[in-house]
Amino acid sequence: MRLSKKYPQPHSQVAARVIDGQAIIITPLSGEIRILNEVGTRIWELADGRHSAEQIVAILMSEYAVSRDEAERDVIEFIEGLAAKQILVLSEHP
Amino acid sequence: MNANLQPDLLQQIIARSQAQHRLYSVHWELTYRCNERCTHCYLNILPAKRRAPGELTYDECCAIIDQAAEEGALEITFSGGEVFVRRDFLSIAEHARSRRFAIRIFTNGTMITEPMADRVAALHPLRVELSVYGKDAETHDLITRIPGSFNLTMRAFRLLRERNVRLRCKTPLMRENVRQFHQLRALAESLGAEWKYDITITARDGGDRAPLRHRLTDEDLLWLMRETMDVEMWKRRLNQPLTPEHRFCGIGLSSITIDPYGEVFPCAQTRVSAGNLRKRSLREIWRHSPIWERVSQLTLNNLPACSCCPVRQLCTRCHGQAWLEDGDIRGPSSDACREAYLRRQVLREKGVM
Repeated sequence: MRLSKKYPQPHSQVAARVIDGQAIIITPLSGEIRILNEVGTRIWELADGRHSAEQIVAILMSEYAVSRDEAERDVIEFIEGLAAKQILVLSEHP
Repeated sequence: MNANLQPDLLQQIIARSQAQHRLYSVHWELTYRCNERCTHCYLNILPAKRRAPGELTYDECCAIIDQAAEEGALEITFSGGEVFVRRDFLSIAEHARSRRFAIRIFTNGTMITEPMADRVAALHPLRVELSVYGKDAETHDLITRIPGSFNLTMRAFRLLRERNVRLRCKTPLMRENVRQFHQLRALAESLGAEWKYDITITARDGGDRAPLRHRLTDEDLLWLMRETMDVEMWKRRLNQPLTPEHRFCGIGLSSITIDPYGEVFPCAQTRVSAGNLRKRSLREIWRHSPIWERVSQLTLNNLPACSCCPVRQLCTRCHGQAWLEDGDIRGPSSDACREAYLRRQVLREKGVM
């Protein structure tokens, strides 16, 4: 199944809060802390297991007035990057 | 549009939380019951098997966890007493996990079994911190006053390490164990744990000074400082004069301590209540208790004696300790004064001052 059809959600190990519009993510396994920027935070909020990557792209296009290609590239890159670090997990169903 | 990730920024997050009086971390003493009887403990410990009237129930704890999450807190530390004396501790911690808290657990580890270690690992804690008081059972058990406790703590290290839980070995240094400094560090390394030591032994809450018998003597402190002094760090600090707004700690800015009965304090050492969670919400206490403004004003310019002290740059005072042991939260902490003067002596010996 292509990534765009999958449903990202936070890995069970992750600690996270959105504060002042910025997602703060702590990954205990590695001890790393990340602060996401506005767009990253919005993707993080949508990565709740109920939105597919495709749906996230569509929402970002409407909220940020960007092209589909650009939105898709950034969303996929973002999700793949966090999945590789066990911050997001990908499901085939919501 | 670029959804960038940024590197580790813990200090920035905490500093921003402090500047905005935003709740970032919670230190929670879930019970004062404990299965050890440590000679130096600053709490008025209750026996483990005792019934514990008045402790927050599981449901109350979960509600508080929810409130803390909604208020934006990200880190939560579960402590005691001994947390595992509470049979519902792991369930409480699992609720915190479900609310995406970064979790730390302070424990003596003696009650951790294999199934419990599995559940601890499934919490994905930031760290589990286990207290070790000696390089061997002879010293450790003397301090806990529980024969066999050292071996059980060692077992906990092994069980958790096998499950890839990040570990810290913590040692309060006192007269009985300070000369085991290097062996303790080696022990922590052999256990696969980071080691942290602390030289602060305080009176008990309520003022009982019995633990102070175990405090390091001047001779012990001088020995320790000569062994461990980070000369370069102190040189840097001495080149940065303290400002009038200097803070010795972040009290009142972004963290709270909760006791087993719902009382909220600025920190574990400063037992001035900001309110009780059975009577008021966490949000109301955090945002409206007058305590926070009072304690956050404990900057150098509001400490009359300390602001003109010749060793203030070498001082690591605790306001709560000053209040508890010397009777004035804005006054000198006699223990901190002693330490700072001894520190100056060693820095002079090393040619820094």
